[in-house]
Amino acid sequence: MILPEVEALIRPLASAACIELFESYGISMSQSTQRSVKPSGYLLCGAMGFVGPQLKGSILFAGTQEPLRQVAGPNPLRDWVAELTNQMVGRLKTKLLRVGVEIYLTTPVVLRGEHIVPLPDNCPEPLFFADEQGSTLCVWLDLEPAPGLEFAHTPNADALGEGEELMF
Amino acid sequence: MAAKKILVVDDSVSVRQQVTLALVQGGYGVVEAGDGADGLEKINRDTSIGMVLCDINMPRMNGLEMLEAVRRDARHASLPVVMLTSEGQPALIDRAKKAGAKGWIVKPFKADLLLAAVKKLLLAA
Repeated sequence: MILPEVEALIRPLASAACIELFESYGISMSQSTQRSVKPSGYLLCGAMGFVGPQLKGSILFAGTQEPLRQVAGPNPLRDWVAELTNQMVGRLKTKLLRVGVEIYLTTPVVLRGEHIVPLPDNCPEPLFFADEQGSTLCVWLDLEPAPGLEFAHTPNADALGEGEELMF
Repeated sequence: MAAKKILVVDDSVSVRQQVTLALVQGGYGVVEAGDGADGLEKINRDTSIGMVLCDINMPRMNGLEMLEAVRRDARHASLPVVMLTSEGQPALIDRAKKAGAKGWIVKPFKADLLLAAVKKLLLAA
């Protein structure tokens, strides 16, 4: 499977992971066709790497302060961006596992700055999200599929989803 | 006998605050640790800890390594440990179960479910 095919399969999963994450904190974001994050104040960017037998890469998650501040509440914003990144990539990891692709995650790091634009080789257009108030988020996917990467046609529902629990 | 405290191990200050808030509102005392090594040290030092809620992905020592270290120490053989993580991977859950975890909760957690699990495990301990 070649990179554009892999991206075409994974981008909707990443989009759903981001939208569901914010929904779980009561914020309705939808995918947007805009091409840049509105430069209102500094950006916060969370980054996580991942590796697996069939897929490795990294995900960068950036946003203006408003939606992140709404979710963070009184918590330290930088720390909360790291946790949001962790939870978003965790959701993506579960979705990938359900199509037979296993990845292992690094711990998140957070960057702060203006005009943060990662430009990895062959980087596709980021995914952009916006809410009704004009707050914006974006997610960059930098994927490196192994030559034999295949997605399972039969979904694997064994992975636990968000908010679920299992007592032994 | 003094009430047992719950140790919350997570490298995210925000998550520790959220979990602590839920537990304190549920009437429990809480001790916090920022990673597995810190958690292990507190378990070894603080005899009032009666249960542990532990993240997986943390620097220095991750949650599964901490769980395995806890179970290697006979003093903590019956200490209930529940993993509280963004991971839901069956292989990790299986590893935690084999290492002696009592449960697995995927973040973001629901406070009522968390409190119900804590109550059940503390009663059984």
